[in-house]
Amino acid sequence: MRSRTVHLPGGPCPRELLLAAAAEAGRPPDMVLAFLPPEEFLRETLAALTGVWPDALRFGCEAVTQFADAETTSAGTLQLFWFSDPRHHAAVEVIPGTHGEPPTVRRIEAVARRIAAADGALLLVDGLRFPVERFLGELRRTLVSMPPFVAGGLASQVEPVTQAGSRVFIGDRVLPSACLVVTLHGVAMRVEVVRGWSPASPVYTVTRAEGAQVHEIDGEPAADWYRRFFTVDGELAPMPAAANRFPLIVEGPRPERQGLYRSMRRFDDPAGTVTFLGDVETGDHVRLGMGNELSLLRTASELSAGPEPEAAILYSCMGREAVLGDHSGQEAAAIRQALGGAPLSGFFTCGEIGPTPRGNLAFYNLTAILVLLREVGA
Amino acid sequence: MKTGPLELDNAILRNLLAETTRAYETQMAELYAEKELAQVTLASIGDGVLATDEQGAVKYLNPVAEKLTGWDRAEALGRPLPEIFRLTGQGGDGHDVEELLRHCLEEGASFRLADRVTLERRDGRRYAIESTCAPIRSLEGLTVGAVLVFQDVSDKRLMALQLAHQATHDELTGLLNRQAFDGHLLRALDEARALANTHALCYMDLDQFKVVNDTCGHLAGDELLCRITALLQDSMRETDLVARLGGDEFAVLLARCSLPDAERRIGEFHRALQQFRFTWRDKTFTVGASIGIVPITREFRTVAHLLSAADHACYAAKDKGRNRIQVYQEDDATFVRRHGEMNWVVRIQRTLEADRFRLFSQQIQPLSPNAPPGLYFEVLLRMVEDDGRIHLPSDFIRAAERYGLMRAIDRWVIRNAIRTLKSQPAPFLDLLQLCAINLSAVSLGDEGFFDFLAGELAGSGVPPAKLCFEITETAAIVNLAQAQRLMAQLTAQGVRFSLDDFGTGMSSYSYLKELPVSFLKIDAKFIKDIVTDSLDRAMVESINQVGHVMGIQTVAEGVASAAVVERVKALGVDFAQGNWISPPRPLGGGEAAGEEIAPPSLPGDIGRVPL
Repeated sequence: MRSRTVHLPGGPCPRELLLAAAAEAGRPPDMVLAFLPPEEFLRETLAALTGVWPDALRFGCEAVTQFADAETTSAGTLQLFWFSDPRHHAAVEVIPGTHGEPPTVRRIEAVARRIAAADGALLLVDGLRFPVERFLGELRRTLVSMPPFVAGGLASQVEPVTQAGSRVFIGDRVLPSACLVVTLHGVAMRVEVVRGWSPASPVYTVTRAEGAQVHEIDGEPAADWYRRFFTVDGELAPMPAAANRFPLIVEGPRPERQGLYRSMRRFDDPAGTVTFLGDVETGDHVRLGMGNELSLLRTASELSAGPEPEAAILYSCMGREAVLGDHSGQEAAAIRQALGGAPLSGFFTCGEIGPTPRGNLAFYNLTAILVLLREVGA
Repeated sequence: MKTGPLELDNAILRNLLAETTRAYETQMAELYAEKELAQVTLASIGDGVLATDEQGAVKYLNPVAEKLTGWDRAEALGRPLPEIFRLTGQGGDGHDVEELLRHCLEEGASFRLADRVTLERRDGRRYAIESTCAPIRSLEGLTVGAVLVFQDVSDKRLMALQLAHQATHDELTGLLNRQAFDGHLLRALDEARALANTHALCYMDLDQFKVVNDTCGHLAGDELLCRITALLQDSMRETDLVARLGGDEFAVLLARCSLPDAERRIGEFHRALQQFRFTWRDKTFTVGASIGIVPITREFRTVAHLLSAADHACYAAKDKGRNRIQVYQEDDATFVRRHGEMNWVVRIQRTLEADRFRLFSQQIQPLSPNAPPGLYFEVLLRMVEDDGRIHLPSDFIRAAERYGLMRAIDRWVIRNAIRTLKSQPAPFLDLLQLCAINLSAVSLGDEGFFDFLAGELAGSGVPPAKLCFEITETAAIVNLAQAQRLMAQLTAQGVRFSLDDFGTGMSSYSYLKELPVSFLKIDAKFIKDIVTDSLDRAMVESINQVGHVMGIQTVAEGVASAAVVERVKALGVDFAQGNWISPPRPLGGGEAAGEEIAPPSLPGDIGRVPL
């Protein structure tokens, strides 16, 4: 597999830049993965890609901040792929918007069959309008054994989020509220979950929660529980920014939930509840973790490269971007260096999809999911 | 908030640390409380608890364990378990403590010590204990030690032993009881079959026990049994097993003992018994015993067979005059006859079930002109077999008495006699003066007999005063007190009694004072030669006079000629009965009409039958 990234300049995408990017390969790419800034020039860029590489499989999603190899940008990133073996390929299945309801069981079963028949699968999701956790739950139930080579991220959007949500696209079609399931054939795929957080509090039990909203922890209103930790000199620290550095870690007891992280999103005063960027379940054992830019970068730089990948895709949480602050550009660079310089694209996500330590498929916050690709037989 | 991000994070971390510390302290306090509770619990429970480490060294003893082992905790800690927990009995599956502990620690197996384990305390005192041992496992599942829980069950085990003893021994004498003795006999029989070992069984019945019991009371009877027990035990070897089978019946299993040896040993006991005198207050009794001896050989198939042979031998000893020893011999005439009795038992039972007994009657003739006119007769019993053969009571009564069938026969006779009387056309019952029915010793001693008779008479229309039960002296004195009670109850209802076969048994006139009888039936042996034998005549005269003095009427049995009738009439005897007067005829076959129907199969009927 040959791969390279293209760091877009911003504004309308110049045709010459695209042609030059493919010149070395001597043929148009087989697959084009695009992480493009929302709104303004999205459609023009997609039209340019269609014009230059009409036969390539083109897909991607909106992203506020993207990675292009060692750089971090907000102008957009492309990653081009050429398969060495003509039998190897990728395919995209669109699961259209369902107005907040998960797809039908029959549809999920069809998706599961395709994933099971592939060597790996990437998921790009409108994280704001597509019920990703319920979808993953159904997918877990349908797949007899969950392979560890399904990963992806939730498209991100600038604040305030528009009605359009954070969209995905295929060809020049922009799809709101949808999910793309990209199955890879002839490609060995490895997934790493990059964390960087340490336990910092005792373990508590969530005594009441509904979806992403937690009512009580150890019988105490969740907001009061949070305030105990985040009140300094009689004042509540700025939330949720301060809470990003102290994520909620799920410690079980259900094995499939062990090791999940949740970002706090807001206090729901006066209800006394706390809303997270992901579901928390009644009965979850939780604790607060802690981390900072140093711990996150150190974890990134300590990644084991394994067999040298031919391409890498990084889905890193926007919560990590907030913690990294001025160093947000260094995470992708550190990871790329640890991998030995493989072409890398990606973006800061609204949530990540990856395997748990016990092999289940889970929805994460505050992790970086790294997908490493290598064509089989290369 | 004026602090910067780093200071803010540090402040939040301090909050987290404080919370963690508080939680840790809370957990420690809870753990401490749990530990305290566990320790108090362990110290409070009534079981001994002893824990070891993975090497089997003692790590913990609770106070009960300290008491039962005799080791202080401080001294015991670190010592090997087998040194502290010393078993003198057998451990589970026959292993010792060390081996069981190793089994527990190495294989993680729990076990329960066997029931008969005894713990030896440090000072040598012993406790019967029950104990379980289980591995102690870490959170990771590794075996890190063992815990023993044990209880002092000395009292419980003693009680169990006492209960077991009570279940297998006779309460009065402390000898083995029937059930336990049967078990030993079975083993002896098995051994005789397998190893050809020779054992002997002795079965004995005291001859005078009932006399002592009746004349001096139950306390005296019990004392006699205890004295005989002591005498018996003194005469036997330690290896011999002595049992009381019930009442005045004893048995001895002489283990590994030849028949001559058994005869010699039992003979010695019998001689000692002859010398023995039992004194109770102012009375002194000699006590005899009828003893049967059986060699235990492989020819006996079952314990029942063996006991039956011993019983036969004992019976033969009685039959030959009591107070003697009889060795069982299968072909002996006595045993053959006894075997015949056993056959009769089956035939009697079959006849009862098939309702094939038949009632006959024999007239009793008043000799005095003052006697009220009417019908006087005795009810007689006959057995009719499947093939139509008819048997006299003399053929089967002995077997019926011996094998406990008299109660059923008595009741059959009474039930059917009353039904027959009831069914006779008028004015039969008006004419009836006396219907005599024989009653056995068993029924005389039967506490339920009164209610039975009342039930049969109820609604029958037969007045109790028309009935007269014929009993023998022997039957009456078997259980004199109960016989007196029953006779008093029935006499109060109008029922009368006659003393049958008078002159043949003890013929003690003193019993006449004890028993409320209305008639004396003078035995036929005094009557048949009365015309020619002056001694018989004198005897009859004497009996008749004593009877009349006591207000008792007399009946001459077995009258066989007109001359005899004349003679007994001349002596003042009140009634006569015999074939010359009237041979037996089916009951209900015309007593009122005076019709005489002699059963053709009874040419030799002598006019006196037990019923």
